[in-house]
Amino acid sequence: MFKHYSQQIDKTVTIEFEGTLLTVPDTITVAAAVIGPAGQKHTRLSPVNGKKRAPYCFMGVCHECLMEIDGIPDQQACIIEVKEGMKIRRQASLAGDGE
Amino acid sequence: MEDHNRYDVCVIGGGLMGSAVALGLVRSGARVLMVDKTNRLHTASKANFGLVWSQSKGAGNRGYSRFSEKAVLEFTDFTGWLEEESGIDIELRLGAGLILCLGDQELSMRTESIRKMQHEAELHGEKHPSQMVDREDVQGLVGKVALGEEVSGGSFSSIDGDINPLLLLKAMRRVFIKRGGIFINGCAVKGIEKLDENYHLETSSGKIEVPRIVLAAGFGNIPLLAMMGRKLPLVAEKGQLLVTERVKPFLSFPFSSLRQTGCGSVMIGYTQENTGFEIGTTVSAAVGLAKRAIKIFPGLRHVRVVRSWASLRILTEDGLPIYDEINDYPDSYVLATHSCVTLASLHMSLLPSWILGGKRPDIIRKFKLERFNV
Amino acid sequence: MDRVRDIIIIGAGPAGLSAAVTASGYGLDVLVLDEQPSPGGQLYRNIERADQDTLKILGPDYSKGLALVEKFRKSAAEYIGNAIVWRIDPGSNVCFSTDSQSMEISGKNIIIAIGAKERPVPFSSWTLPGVMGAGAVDANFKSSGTIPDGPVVLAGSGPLLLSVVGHMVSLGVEISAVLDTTPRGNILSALPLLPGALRRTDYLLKGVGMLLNLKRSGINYFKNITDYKANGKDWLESVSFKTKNGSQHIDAELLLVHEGIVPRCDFTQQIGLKHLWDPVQRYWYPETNVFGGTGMNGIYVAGDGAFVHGGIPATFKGSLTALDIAGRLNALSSAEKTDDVVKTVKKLSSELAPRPFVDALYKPRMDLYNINDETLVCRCEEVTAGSIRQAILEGCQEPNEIKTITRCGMGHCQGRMCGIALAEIIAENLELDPGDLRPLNIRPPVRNISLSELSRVTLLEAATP
Repeated sequence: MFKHYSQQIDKTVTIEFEGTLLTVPDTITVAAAVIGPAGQKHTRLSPVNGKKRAPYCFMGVCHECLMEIDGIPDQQACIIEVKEGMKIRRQASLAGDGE
Repeated sequence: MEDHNRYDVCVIGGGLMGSAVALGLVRSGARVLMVDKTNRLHTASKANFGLVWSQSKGAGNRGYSRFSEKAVLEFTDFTGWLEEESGIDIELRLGAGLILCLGDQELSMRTESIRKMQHEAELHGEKHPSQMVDREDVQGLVGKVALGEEVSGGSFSSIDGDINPLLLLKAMRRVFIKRGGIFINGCAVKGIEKLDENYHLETSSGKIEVPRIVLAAGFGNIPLLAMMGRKLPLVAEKGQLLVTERVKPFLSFPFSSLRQTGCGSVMIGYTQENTGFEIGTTVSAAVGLAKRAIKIFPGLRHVRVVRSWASLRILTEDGLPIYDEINDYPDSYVLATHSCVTLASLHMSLLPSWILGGKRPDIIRKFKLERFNV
Repeated sequence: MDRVRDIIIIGAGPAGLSAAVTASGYGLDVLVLDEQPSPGGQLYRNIERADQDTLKILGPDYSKGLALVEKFRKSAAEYIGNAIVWRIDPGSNVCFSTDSQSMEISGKNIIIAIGAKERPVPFSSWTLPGVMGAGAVDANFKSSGTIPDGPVVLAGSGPLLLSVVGHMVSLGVEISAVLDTTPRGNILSALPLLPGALRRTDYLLKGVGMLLNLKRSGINYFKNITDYKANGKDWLESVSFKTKNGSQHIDAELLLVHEGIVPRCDFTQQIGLKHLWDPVQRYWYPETNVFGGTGMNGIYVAGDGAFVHGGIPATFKGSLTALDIAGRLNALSSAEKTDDVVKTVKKLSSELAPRPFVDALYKPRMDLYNINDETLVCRCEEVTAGSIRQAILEGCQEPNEIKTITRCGMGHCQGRMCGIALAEIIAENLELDPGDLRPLNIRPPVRNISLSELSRVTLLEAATP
């Protein structure tokens, strides 16, 4: 849904989205990377009915961008910047299971 | 508001107590008005843990234990009817309830308490329906989920369980209205006077005249009884709770301090604090609750807490309910207990015929106001 | 971190930064906590790393922030970025999280400066991926350097909508339509307020310029449209809307909506401050005095979080708050304070001159909350307008009660997205003014944290077991 504006990118990092490696600018937010260079339309599934959801506000309000980052669920992907080696997964409809 | 002479009874308070009694009253064929002032400050009904619970009720008072056990045993029929009438699944689960212990000290205290209650039951030729279980038993009950190292055992009841208290309230109100009851929300009672045959209620929605009144307003009963020159000895006990996000189902029955709700969120309770009528939460209490939850199920550590809150339990000095007629005010009744979920079945089935002029049920004969010398 | 600060400021936007610069200038011990990686807030987001191209495209409204952030960096105020505040205790303690570690800290004063957000307005299928707030475009461009991979449809009303369109034109984003919902009648009710606004013709000209640019750009611009809807199965496929000529339909992968700006009341609601309802712009705002002072000792609200006036006014509001605190802490004489306050108030009122006109011109349309029964109001818990109306029929009368009965507002966002809409629906059904209702409670943690993190909070005093 989004693309890089500038063709020149100074510094990049490599991240992993759902097992696929991706090179992105080091200043991009996780949510922007997922709906931008990663080419995804949705970032999580609704915990109520499993429907696809994507970030709405991009400023920490709507909580639609919750994703699993480095094994920890429910991270607000729109306010977290990527880091080298970061592993990002879509938030499953229900988190964890107490095990 | 002019034409409220058409009611047989007015129930003041639309929470779990008021709704259950009002529902029972309309079911008995009475014309019932229920009013609630939506005093959010102390509404215990909206911040309930949702246990349908007998195993810890009535240590030292077999009458109350028996009453609670009867209520639990009647819950299935009660909710079966309620669900059919309301079309709402209130998420009842009965047949297992655990009071979990961490460490040896909690376990020995719990053992002592259960032994006492079992003994009291035996004195009456009855059987207390819960027993102690050890750590291995607890593991067997929860299946594959890993228990924390400190889990030592607990007491287990095969009749207790839980429901969704908010859906219970919603269902009772819905059926009450469906069966012809009238519910006025945002209606605060400001004055009560007995003139001739009727009670004249001064309310924020106008005057109400009605031959019978039921005070079922939780702490709101205190100012209501004051209008009738009476005191009500209630004590507020603050309980703080945490609620997590929805997680995959992992726990199929409730613990007294931790349960997974129908939608998947985990409720973690609860503190017992005597801080008067304030309902603020504290970060230190939240930290304590989080620590304990992780000690029980270490796998919960990554689960996110989405909110916390506090509310007040409506306790009497001896912990037993109050169901009584108010002296010098014929046909007026006061009801108060902290256990409005567990006892909902009996509140609906047992109290209405008495309120409508019938005999006081024997099982509640001891729950009078006069025991407090007020 | 154990020492008691003179001021803890939450939010490093225009108001927070300005308050920090002013207060630390008087020698006060100031700590600023902000959730972004660098200072700037929404308006000046990521400005320290902006290249010349970005500054040029976003223009002076953005680049003005450079000087403010620079002053802040040079000040003695301490700054912690990536800090998520999740609880305020009116005693004046603050709990915040960085890197999954939380701690409790203490301040004599707390300034809540968390700004504003786009007004969330439920409409049919607004939960589909591909539907976003228009502000998301600026946020992504500023933070991440990404832009919509058009074509894009924009819908709604307000100055920010026009500003975003302008940015997208400069960025070369393909726009397939702009659907302007501003009612025709607004201009008439706004006109009597125009004379006041003429004190600042620069702002008016900027607004007129934005409209002219839009018309010149050749973009498909629909005026006075109503009933826009998102359509699609798993994600947005098209947008439909009504004009006076009938219904229209446009294929789209991205729909950006904007229905005005409202204060973020996360913390003011959490601590239980009194909120008032603005009948023109239809939102709640915390009751404050001219300094941002509230009914709670030591708790201040500065900037758009107190009332939406925009970025430059927010800097003056931040300074006023700092001056009041500095005066109370005897860091400046009362003569100095009076002098500075008078100067700042003068600048502020000049900035606010056009505001009544603009607020009336972009007054929310009457049918803004004309939400059909099937539409989700609460996105987190998937609660429809229909089930809210059912609860009202069954006797519920106020937002917090409907929350318990329907779960509306019980999810991760705690009603940030549905709170206003819920109140509007109740008000409409019961023929009340939303101002008669009490806003939804927000409970701590205001931002969710893990049980593990909660169990390890570094408390100010020894924790209870």
